[in-house]
Amino acid sequence: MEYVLFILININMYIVLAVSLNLIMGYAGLISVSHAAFMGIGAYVTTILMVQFGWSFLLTLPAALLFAAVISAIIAVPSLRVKGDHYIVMSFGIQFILTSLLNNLNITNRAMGFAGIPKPSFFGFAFESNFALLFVSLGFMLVCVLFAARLAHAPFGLILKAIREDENATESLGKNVVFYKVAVFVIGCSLAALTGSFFASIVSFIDPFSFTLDESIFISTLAIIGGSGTIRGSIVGVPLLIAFPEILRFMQVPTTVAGPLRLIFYGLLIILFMRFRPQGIIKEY
Amino acid sequence: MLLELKEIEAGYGKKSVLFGLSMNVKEGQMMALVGPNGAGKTTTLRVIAGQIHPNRGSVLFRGKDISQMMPHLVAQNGVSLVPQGSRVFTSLTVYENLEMGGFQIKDSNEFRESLEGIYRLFPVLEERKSQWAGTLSGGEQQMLAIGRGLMSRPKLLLLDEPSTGLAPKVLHELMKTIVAVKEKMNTSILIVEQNVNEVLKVADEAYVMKLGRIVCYEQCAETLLYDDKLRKAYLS
Ligand SMILES: Nc1ncnc2c1ncn2[C@@H]1O[C@H](COP(=O)(O)OP(=O)(O)OP(=O)(O)O)[C@@H](O)[C@H]1O
Ligand SMILES: [Mg+2]
Repeated sequence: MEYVLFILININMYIVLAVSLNLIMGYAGLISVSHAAFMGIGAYVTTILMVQFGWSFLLTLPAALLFAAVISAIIAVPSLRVKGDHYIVMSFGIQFILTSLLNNLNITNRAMGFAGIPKPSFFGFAFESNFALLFVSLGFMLVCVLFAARLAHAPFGLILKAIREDENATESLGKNVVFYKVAVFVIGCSLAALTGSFFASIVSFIDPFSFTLDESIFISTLAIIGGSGTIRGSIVGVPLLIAFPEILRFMQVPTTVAGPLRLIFYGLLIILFMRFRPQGIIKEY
Repeated sequence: MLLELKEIEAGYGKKSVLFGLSMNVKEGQMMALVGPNGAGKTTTLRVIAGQIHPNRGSVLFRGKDISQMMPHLVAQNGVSLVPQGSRVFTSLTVYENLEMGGFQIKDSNEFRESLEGIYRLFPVLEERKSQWAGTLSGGEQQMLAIGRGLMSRPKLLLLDEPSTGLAPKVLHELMKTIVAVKEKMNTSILIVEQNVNEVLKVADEAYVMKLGRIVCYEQCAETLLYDDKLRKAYLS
């Protein structure tokens, strides 16, 4: 039972990650490989503020959001101003820098990370049991998904798709393309950071290995296989993709084998999808 | 004068394409710009639209120099470019494409009027408004691209080879529609066209350009059809 709850919490977290990356990648067409890094930023900001400075969970959220927004804007503004795909390299860079910082800074506790992070509490009301934590993650996921869906269906979402298809034409219709690209990047990364905040507090343990390049690529896989350019795709795709490998566990496959098998499974899935259904599970149109 | 290009020098990186090009478009006018492939016609339109900033010279639009302005601001000032190949946004519906053209209009009544105007010009767009733009025929996409460019009610419409891929009969209809746009919507037009015969019949005035320069200006576009200068520009 505990184990199932844990998977469900994970699914909620990954839905927000996939949906927010989908805004950046699926809607605006900006390939980014630093989503886990931004999740890490949120996780560490929240953890350090709670553990070292005794802040309440709720108060750390705006701090994490702001921190991620500023850093993503610093990357986005110079790299998205020039046409072309420079920001891919930039996002690689931020991913490597962050992994390296987390592993080497004293304030992040180096490779050890943090354990025993306080559980989330809202206005003095603490959520302790795993069941309660599931509801926290569910609530967080629903709020984020509703927010993303509103954005995607507002003119904002249309403009992002138009940019993806033809930047010059979008500009010549009077849209400030750089502004929209920076905006969606900052919004998507900030959502990833908030996910990190919830993740750290719900799971109570973080270390640098949860926020590596592998993890960023895994999140992209979720977004692409679910269906890029659709919010629904990420919501439908993530549970399937996260839950499926867990079957291995019920089949009593030893963890040393299950780990590599899981990666092989995802690798095969990407290949099969690219070959037979490049639009993903849910088609954009 | 609505638009004045003065001594424009522009290109791509180190490559120069326009060598001191000057031209004018008057208010209420349909101006044709013709010339052989690679003459720099598309480049000229992109300079006007702000997509390429000239190294020298000025672009005056209603007296204001817009030569170094960002393209979205040029558009907001009333210049609309329908690019060559008229690619519409294929993953948006027909209606959403038109919406993209009209976001600048804040007033919802004005937006509706604009939209109805477009539907009157191109009734087929209304029939297909909820269809994905990528599933329209080539000619319909062309109409959508023009409609999208007109949604913001520009003062100046730049059309880059709107005839591409159209059957002769459709092309003839399109030219008539473009004239109607000029007359009914009070929009001046600068049109680049390979199909010289059709465009010179309906345009007011015309420029012929070659290798980045204007080689001929004619106040009565149609007379160019019977003029040696045009043939020479294309042949030599
Ligand atoms: N993006 C670009 N980068 C480099 N050179 C370019 C670019 N676009 C066009 N050119 C060059 O600039 C010159 C003029 O091109 P342009 O597209 O303006 O010609 P055009 O008159 O519109 O021709 P066409 O009738 O074939 O459309 C050509 O020599 C072309 O190779
Ligand atoms: Mg051209």
